[in-house]
Amino acid sequence: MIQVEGVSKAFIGPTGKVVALENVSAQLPPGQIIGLLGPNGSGKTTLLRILVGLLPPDTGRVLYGGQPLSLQLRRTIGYMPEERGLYPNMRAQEQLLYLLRLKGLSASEAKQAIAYWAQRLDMPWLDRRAKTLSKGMQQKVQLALALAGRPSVLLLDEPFSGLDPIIAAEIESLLKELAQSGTTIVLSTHRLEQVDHLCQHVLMIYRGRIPLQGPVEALRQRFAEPLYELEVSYPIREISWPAEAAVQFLDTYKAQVRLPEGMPSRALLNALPPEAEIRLFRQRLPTIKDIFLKQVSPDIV
Amino acid sequence: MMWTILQRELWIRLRDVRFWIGVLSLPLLIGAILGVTVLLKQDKRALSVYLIGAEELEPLLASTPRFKCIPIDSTIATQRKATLQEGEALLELSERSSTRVAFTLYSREVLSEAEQEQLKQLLRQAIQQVRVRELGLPPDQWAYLNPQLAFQNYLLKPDTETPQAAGVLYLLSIAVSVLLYIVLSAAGFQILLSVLEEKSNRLAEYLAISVPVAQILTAKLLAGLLLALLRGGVLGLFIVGVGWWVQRQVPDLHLSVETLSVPWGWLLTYLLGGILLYAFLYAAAGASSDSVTELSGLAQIMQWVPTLLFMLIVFLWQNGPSQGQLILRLLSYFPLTAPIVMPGRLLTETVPLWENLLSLSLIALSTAGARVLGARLYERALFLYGQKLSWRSIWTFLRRR
Repeated sequence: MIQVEGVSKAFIGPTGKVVALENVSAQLPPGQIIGLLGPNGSGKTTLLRILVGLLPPDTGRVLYGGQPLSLQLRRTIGYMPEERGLYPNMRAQEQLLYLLRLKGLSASEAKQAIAYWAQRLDMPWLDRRAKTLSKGMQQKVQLALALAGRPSVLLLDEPFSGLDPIIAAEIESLLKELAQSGTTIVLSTHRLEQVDHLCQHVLMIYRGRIPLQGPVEALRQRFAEPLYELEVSYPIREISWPAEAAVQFLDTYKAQVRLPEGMPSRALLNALPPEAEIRLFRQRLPTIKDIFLKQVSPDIV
Repeated sequence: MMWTILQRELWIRLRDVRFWIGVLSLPLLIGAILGVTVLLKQDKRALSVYLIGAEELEPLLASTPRFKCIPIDSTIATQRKATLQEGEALLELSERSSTRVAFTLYSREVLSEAEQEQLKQLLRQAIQQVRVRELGLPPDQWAYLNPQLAFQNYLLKPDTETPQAAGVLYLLSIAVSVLLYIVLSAAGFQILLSVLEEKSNRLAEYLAISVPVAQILTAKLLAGLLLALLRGGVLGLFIVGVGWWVQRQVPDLHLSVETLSVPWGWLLTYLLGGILLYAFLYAAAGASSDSVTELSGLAQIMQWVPTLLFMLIVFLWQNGPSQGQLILRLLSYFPLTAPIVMPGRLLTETVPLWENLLSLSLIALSTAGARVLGARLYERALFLYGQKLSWRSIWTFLRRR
């Protein structure tokens, strides 16, 4: 469990003091993929840098399993910064070896790890200089760097930016696999639609604060509205719906119905004629994107 | 970990052909220019050799392009010796017997061994011919006479330093200043680029997770120091080599390491102090910038101020020590220029101990200050992306502990 307790951080910018994080507290459960969501400039990267120990918080602290972050502990964290790069004139393999040695791996351990991830991530071109690699290739090298050494915590800042869908899908399945094997993964992302199927937990950050956090499913339930999807074998326009229900016809047999507050969902079923066979009936839960926009957009607007 | 970073910093430069081009291009260029210049001046003027006490040899002495023998009266020999100029020599027959002839040559320039041998050969032939005549032998027998020929070359040292020697000393001062400027700037700029590369590529974040920032900076400085010493060593060897070669080509310069009494200890101290001072300042300059095209005000100052000061130094050196001596002296105390100017002064004049101590103390104080401020700025600005730091931000970072 990673605990963030009352963390605040401010920077001196060209226009004066800028508060990046203000009294942020969060609990990040182990073995899960945690989505760190927020608009640009909301403080995601600052929080990740504090989590990895690159920046000291002005106030508050970060605990890993109850322990404060030490240099030794930092070396066990896999980290992928935003807008990353590599040494352009070094061969990919050389820099992996170099950076893994700095993480405390011996030369033979580092070489083994490189060989494993070269195969796992399909990187037969590691002997090429970084400047000759495409962005996707470089991202793979950086991901390998974050993953090598089997870190117990992975902090990934926008890991999918600039990736084509095929590589993105590969990385998604890899992250799921790692989480299943017990790795805690914190990833900041702008791809909100990805969060629903990838993350189990979210941390929404906005203007340096955390307005919302929790398990994905619990949040979706919490923000659920009385909106139902219905598919029946009967022409849906011929049904006498309750007068207070707002019905949106999707096709001949499908509709989306919003009930007023307090009206039970059974009222919809009661409105169906006896010969109508129910093919689908479910409450439409909001996506994380819906929740995010609802939380953030009023201010943005 | 520091060793790993140091190794990479060294290896990545040493295997880069551009580094070696940078190190070798200047010596090769200067060497080529100097070589052509000296070779073009190879045609030496004829040496007028005044003969004293051996007038009978004169008609028998063959003239060569190098030696022109002129008999003079022995009564004016002393006066002539005192007023001997460049391009003149006095040859005195000091002993003559049937088996041994001794000559003494007085000159203001050193004759090379080959030249001495050439002169001896001329004298030997003339003496043999005189002996053949004296003994009444057939003319073709002279070659069988082989009198012992003793020859001594006395160098009449100038009362004052020759203009050439003085010129070479100033050239040497300029060369040393140029060398030090190149070494310091190259070391500093290499550190700036290295910091900037890691900052703009976000590699600094990878490094800083595993290694404390202070250690990263130290490793970079050590690598910069070692590479600067290598660069300085190559340039230094080149200057020594050129000095040796010039000495051989122009022996009457009377220059040698002994006569120059190079204060190696002081030179090395100024070099190390200068490298450290520049390294800290350039590291801070790199960290406060965003990219090579977005250099901060501090980085721009670190680019221009030493360059302009260096141009001033070269200008002042060129004008000799009398003009601008006060400015040169002041520049030899100023920490940014002291490592460039003071070694040049040490080569050409006797610098009082207090001046050296004052200069080194100021360098040491500035280096200590630059270390604290540079490290503070490096640590705090390294992860600030997308902007070059304003003076206000730099001041804020430096002020806060």
